Amino acid sequence: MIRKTEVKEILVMGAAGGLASNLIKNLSEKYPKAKIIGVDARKSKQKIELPNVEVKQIKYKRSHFEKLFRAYNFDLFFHLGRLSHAKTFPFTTQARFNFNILGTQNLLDLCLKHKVKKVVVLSTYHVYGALADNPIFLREEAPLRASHYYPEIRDVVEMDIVCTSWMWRYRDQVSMILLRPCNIVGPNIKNVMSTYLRSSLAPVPIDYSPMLQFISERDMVNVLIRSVEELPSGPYNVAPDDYISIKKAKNIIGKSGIPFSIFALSGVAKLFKKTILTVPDYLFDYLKFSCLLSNTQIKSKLGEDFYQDSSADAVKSLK
Amino acid sequence: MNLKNLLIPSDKLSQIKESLYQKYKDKSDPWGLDIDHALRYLKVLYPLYNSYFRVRVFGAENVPEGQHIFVGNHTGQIAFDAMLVSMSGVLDIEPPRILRGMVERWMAGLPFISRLAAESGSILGDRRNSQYLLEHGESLLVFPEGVKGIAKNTKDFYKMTDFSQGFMRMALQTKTPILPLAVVGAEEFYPYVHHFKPLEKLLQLPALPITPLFPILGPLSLLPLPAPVDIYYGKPILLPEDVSHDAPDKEIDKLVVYVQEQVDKMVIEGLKKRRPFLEKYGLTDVRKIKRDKK
Repeated sequence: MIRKTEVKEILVMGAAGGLASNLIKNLSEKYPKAKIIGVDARKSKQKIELPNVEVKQIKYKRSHFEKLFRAYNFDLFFHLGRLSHAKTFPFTTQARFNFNILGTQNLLDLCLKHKVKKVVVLSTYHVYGALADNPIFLREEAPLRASHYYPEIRDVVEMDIVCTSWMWRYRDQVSMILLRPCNIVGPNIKNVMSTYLRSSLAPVPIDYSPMLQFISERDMVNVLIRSVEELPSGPYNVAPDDYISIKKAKNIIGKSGIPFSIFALSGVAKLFKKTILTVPDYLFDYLKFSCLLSNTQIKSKLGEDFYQDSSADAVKSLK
Repeated sequence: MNLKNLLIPSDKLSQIKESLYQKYKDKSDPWGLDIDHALRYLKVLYPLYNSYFRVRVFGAENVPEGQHIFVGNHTGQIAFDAMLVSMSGVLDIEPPRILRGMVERWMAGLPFISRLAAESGSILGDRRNSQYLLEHGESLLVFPEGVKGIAKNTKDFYKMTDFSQGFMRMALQTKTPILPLAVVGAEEFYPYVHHFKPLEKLLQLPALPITPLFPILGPLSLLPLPAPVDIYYGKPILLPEDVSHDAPDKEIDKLVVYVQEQVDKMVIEGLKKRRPFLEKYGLTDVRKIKRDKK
């Protein structure tokens, strides 16, 4: 495991995102002597003006990353730059697939070549798939079945698989943490679930009512930071102990949405998504079937108090 | 018809509410059990329980307080028997308890029904799920015959198929006593029925009972007839402490067969006390179906 004094230069990818911005600020506080470089293909909305932080807008191209790795000696690499399916991300499906799978593979190879000590990758619980026969609770070794049913998120699953196999292959040279968080929500987060919860027009299922887990932005940042020094290599689910129904989550925010039968929704969703609905089709299955995570593994390393906010508290922060 | 019979007596309802609220109110359940919704469904379905199926419960006094794995025979083509036993767990057993029934995987994907089942306390039939519940002090409702037990042709009514071993290994592992129960009467919901396997396979359904009215009524023919139902609770079976849950099949089989025999005895006794239904209409009395001795 890496020690605090060993961290001199840190690379954070996806720096324009809400979670990464917060992470950079917290890293700057925790490692005041380290140089933190944030990169993103998007323009950063909030400027981070801290003496040891530099945020750059770069095109996600292999040559640009090679240049970056040559210019610095990164000890730590945070991969928070997976291209999302949220409509706020202006990438084509092909670009998304290329970057999330091949791009990640190239970045990991660069880490190996330039002797990065620790890599932290942010994956998602979506990789397990929301299926009628999911057991309660899914452990890290559960099969990643999302792509069996939703080809549009095949890249997310494949990226996770690329990381896992890379992790075991080079475990003697680089330590890697693969985090699979439940729904991350917070005032600065713009992922698909946050978009769905904030929307007054989003359909709310009347025929299904699965439980969902939510982790607050600040707890997630805390886990990312603690993972550097406290977690050994491996995949980890990140979720609180509790869970709430989607209906309760919508009620907490005060956006009750439109009651709808998911049974009849697929056609309507296709019509809406071109107009008012900015939620991908596959998300509806996560509103139908349960996909709850077991947090036993991460708890055993970070302790019972690795998170502060319950699922309900996390959702409240979206208000 | 006395309209009073359609409502749960108010004093009984408050007793049930008080008891269940103590255990479940404001507690979240990973499968979505919602005690307020469960009580609402109980009230809505009570007329079916009390007036349509005229459920009688025998041996409720045999059920002690505490956690058990309730093990019964599966009858009636569609799992109305599970619904009625679950309702009797709340209405007729003291103290009332939610029996966590295990649903088939395909059922968990059905709109509305899956929600109703989850909010009433059902869980997906998976060993890890059951273990989680047993470790958290819940009682399970198990039908170890599975689909092959419930989906019988008329000639096989009231003949039990072999119990699977899963419930016994779970009981041994968690040291949970078993409570045998029998449901008598549900076979007459669909008195004449045939399972056409190729059609079930084509429609990817675990079972599809074809009744004589199917060609005329289609899916409506799946509405059950108002056959009277009796539920029998046996005495708890304490399990030997020297048998491991990982014991070889032979050892587990002995225990499983013992439980099945207890259930079977209750079914045979129950058939003798069965209220006449079909014969009132000049149809075959299912009580006269010849039972094969195993």
